[in-house]
Amino acid sequence: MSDSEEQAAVERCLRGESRAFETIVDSYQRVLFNVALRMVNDRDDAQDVVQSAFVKAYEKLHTYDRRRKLFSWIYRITVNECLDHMARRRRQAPMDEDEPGPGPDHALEEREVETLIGAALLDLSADYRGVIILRHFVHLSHREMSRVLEIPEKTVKSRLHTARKLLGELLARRGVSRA
Amino acid sequence: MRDDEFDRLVNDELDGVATPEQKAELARRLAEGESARARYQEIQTVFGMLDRIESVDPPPSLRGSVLRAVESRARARSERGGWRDLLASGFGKRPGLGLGYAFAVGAVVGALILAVGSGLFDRAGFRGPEMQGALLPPTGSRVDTVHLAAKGAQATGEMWTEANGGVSVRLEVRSDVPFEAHVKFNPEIYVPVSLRRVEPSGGRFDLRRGELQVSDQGSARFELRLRAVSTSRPPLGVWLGTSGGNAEGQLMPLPPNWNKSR
Repeated sequence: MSDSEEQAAVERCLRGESRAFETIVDSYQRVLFNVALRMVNDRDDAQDVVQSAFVKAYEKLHTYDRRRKLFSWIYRITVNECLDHMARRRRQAPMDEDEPGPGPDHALEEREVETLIGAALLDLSADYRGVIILRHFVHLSHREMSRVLEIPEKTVKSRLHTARKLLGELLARRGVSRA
Repeated sequence: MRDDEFDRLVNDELDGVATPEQKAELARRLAEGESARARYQEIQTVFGMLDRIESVDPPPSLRGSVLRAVESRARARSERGGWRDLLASGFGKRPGLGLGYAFAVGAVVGALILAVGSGLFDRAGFRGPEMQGALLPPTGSRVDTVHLAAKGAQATGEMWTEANGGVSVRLEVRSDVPFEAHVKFNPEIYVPVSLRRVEPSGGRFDLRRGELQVSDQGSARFELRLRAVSTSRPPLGVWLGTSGGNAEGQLMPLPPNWNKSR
C-alpha cells in the first residue's frame, strides 16, 4: 500500500467508514503478527495482542500524526500491547524454567533454532528485542528502522550490535556454539 | 583495535552496510589472527540462526476477528454520536441558551425526583405500569451459580456483575485428584480485565483467547473479571474434567427472570 493509499484509508476511517480499516489490516496483519509472535513467543497470545493493537489503533486513529509513517505508529502500539501482555502474564504465572540447551555438538533442527531464539529473545529488553525483530524478521533496513523507531540510524546500528552480542551470549549459555 | 570495534566491523559487514574501507580493515584483521576468525564465526552464527527463522502466516481468523471488533466499535461510536448530536442540537447550537437549558432540565428532573419520593403521584392517582425491561442488576450482584461434579472433583462457578456492564466469574474447585477446569467466554464480547488467583496453589493456569484454563490438584480459586464490549450478553461456559469424567455447565450474565416484572 502506497503512502497516499494509506492516508486515504485513514481519512475514510476518520469519516466513519470502518470498512476502510480492512486495507490497513490487510497491509500490516502479517508483519505485526510476526512482530508480536517474536515478542511474546506464543501464537495465541500474539493473535490476541495484534487484535488488541489493531482495535486500539482504530479507536485512537484521530490522534495519529499524519506526518509519521502509519506503520511506525501501529508498530509502537503493537509493541506496547506486547509489553503490557507480558507484564500481565508475569504477574499471573511464574515463568517457566529455562529449558536446557541441546549441547554444543548437536546439529540444530529448524524447530529447535526457533525455540532457542524465541526463548533467548524473551530475555532481551524490549528495545533490543525490537531491533532484532525489525531487522531479521521484518527485514527492514537500518534507515527504515530509524524511521519506524524514530531514533538516529547510528543508534539503530549500535542497538543492533549490542542486541546481537547479548543474544549470542544467551545462546552460548544455552549451549549453542555453532548452528 | 578494541574487541568492541571489531564486533561492530563484523556486524556492519554481515548487515551488508560495511564501506570498502571497513571491508579492507576486516579482511586484514581476519588474516592476522585466529581469535579474530573465531569471533567472526561466533557473530556469524547468531546471524545465521536469526536468518533461519522464517516469517509465519497469521492465523486465518485474525483478520475477521479484528474487523468484527472494529465494526462493533464503529457501531457503538455512531450510537454515542447520535445521542451527542441530539444533545448538541438542543444545547451546542444555541450556546447562549446552554446554561438556561441545563438549569431547566435540572429543575425538572429534581422536581420529578421529589414528587416520586414524596408519593405525590400515588396520592394524585397516577399509577404507572409496573417497571419492565432488561435493566442490568446492580453492580456487585451475584446473578448466577453453577455446581459441577466430575469423579473426584467439585467446582462452583459464580457470575457477579461489575461496573459498566462487565462481569466477574469466581471459580472454586476442590479435588482429590488432578483436574482441569475451564471458563469459556466469547472473546468478541468479553475482554479480560484482570485475573486473580485467590487461593495460591502449585497448579498451572493460563488465560488464553476466550478461555481460562486451570490445571491443579487440591483446591483452586480464581476470580476473572471481564469487560463487555457489546450489548449482547451470551452465557459463559464452565467445564470440569478429571481422569474419571467431566461435567459442564453455563453461567448466565442475567438471571433468568430478570427482564420480567420486578
